Amino acid sequence: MEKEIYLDWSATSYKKPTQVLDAMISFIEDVGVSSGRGAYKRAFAADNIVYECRKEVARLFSVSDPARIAFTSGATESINLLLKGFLQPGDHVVTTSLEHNAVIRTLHRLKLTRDVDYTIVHCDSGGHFDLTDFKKSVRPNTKLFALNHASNVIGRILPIRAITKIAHEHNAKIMLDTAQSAGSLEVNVAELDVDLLAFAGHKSLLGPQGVGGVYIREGITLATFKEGGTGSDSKSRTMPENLPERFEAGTLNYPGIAGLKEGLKYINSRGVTSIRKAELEVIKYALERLKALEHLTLYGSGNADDTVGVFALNVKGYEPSVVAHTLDIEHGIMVRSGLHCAPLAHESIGTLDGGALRASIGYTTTKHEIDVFIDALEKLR
Amino acid sequence: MTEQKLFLERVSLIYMAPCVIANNNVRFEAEFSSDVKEVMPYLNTVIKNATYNPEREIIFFTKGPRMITLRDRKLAVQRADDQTDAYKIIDFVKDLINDTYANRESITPSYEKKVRTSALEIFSYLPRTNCKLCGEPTCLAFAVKLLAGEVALSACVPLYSGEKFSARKKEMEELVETMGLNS
Repeated sequence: MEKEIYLDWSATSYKKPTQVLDAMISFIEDVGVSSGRGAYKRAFAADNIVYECRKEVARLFSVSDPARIAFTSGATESINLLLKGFLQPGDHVVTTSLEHNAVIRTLHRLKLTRDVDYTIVHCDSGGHFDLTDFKKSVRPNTKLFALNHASNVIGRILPIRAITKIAHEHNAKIMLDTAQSAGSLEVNVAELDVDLLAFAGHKSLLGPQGVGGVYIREGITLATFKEGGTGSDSKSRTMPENLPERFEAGTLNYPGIAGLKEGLKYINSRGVTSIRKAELEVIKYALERLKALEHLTLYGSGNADDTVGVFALNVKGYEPSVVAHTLDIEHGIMVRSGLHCAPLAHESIGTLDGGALRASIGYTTTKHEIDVFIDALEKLR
Repeated sequence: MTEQKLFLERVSLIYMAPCVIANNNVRFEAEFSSDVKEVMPYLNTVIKNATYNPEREIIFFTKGPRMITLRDRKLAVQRADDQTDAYKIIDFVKDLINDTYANRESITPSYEKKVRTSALEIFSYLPRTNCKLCGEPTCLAFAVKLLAGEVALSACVPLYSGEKFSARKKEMEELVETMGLNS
């Protein structure tokens, strides 16, 4: 067996740049303390790291005011915060069949408890959407379009700008889940005209698990998702109005944020365009090689230009869990099988019953690793 | 742009507290990694609303509701929105000083003492009790005379009696000193 090959990047990036680990260790070892509020210099040093990370996030998404970025425990909490904070009883939401359960289950919970309704726009088996379906789904009470930038099952990139235009023409806002795009695909909130955005820190932003965040466009007020101490205006029984404090009750994940800051610095200095260019080479190569294997069914568009580095496939005659296990035990290749928390996406591609195998690449994946993966799949004829 | 050494490498937040002047705001102090005295005459030209006292080497200016004072290696700010705003102001001041220093050859320095503030602005910093103990009918009238150099700050009785306005007194004294008015 060659060395282990990690092809589960869309779940979590691994390995992280060493500066991410160094920053986390350094935070715990050399700073260690929590937020300041006039206490002492070291506490300000901790706050400064958080602010620097906020700035890096703002830079990544081309947000001019870092205060519009609030940190959470991850994309799931971010999506919960945005949907539960924005939607009111009687509101209607347009969403898609490619959504993760973080969106679908949250919307469904709101349907059961808050009289919020939602319509799912379905894509074809290649992940293609008919834009008129979005228009047809709009109701007079449609307040929000909630959708992901790229699918965590088939990697398909959604036509966000076109969908945003439809949403805004109908006075609805856009909530974009960038879990699979941020860090590997350009996300410019002004260009995409996005109102609310959720991001994960531990995927392509190269931070550790347990950190993520939101962007909330200026002028949009959300109800709080949780209440607690902010270190400010403590006499008040209600959470402050100002961002980011309004959404950051309690002690933040400082070591996580310190690590995320370094991941973001790496991405911002290398540039997302250059990362995408490099990943695109590997994606093209992988698609080419996967398509050549006739004992495989490859899902998605098969076109590198509208795909992030996520591939869903099945090996004819094998259950995906058996394939994943074999790849792991015999070849040291780490991939995932099942429904990937996105059952509707599997419904769209026709794999709801058995699921599929998912392989995903990251910023250090090489063509050689793809070759090893393909060779291993070849042996499963 | 030519690469050159930054004048200020760091501006470190060292103190923060709820603002005494406005509710729900914060005041803070930060430390510059170098003394900013030599940049002040250039800043006096660049900052349109700067109040500059060359003898004391202090610059005071406002940015929205925020009152910003630069002195030696210290940045003192009143009425910042919150902690994130404090960090944003620190970045703003740092960039302002670094950019001004980098462009100093094309800026005509001004060593002139300037007081660019209004009676209304001074009024807004006073206790505003209209107690008449200073001999003026209103606090606004007192502010007008203070700016004109006709009365001293110490004539404001509420400011100098008890603890209630002690923090504000310190800030007012600093302002009056910056402006070269009678303390």
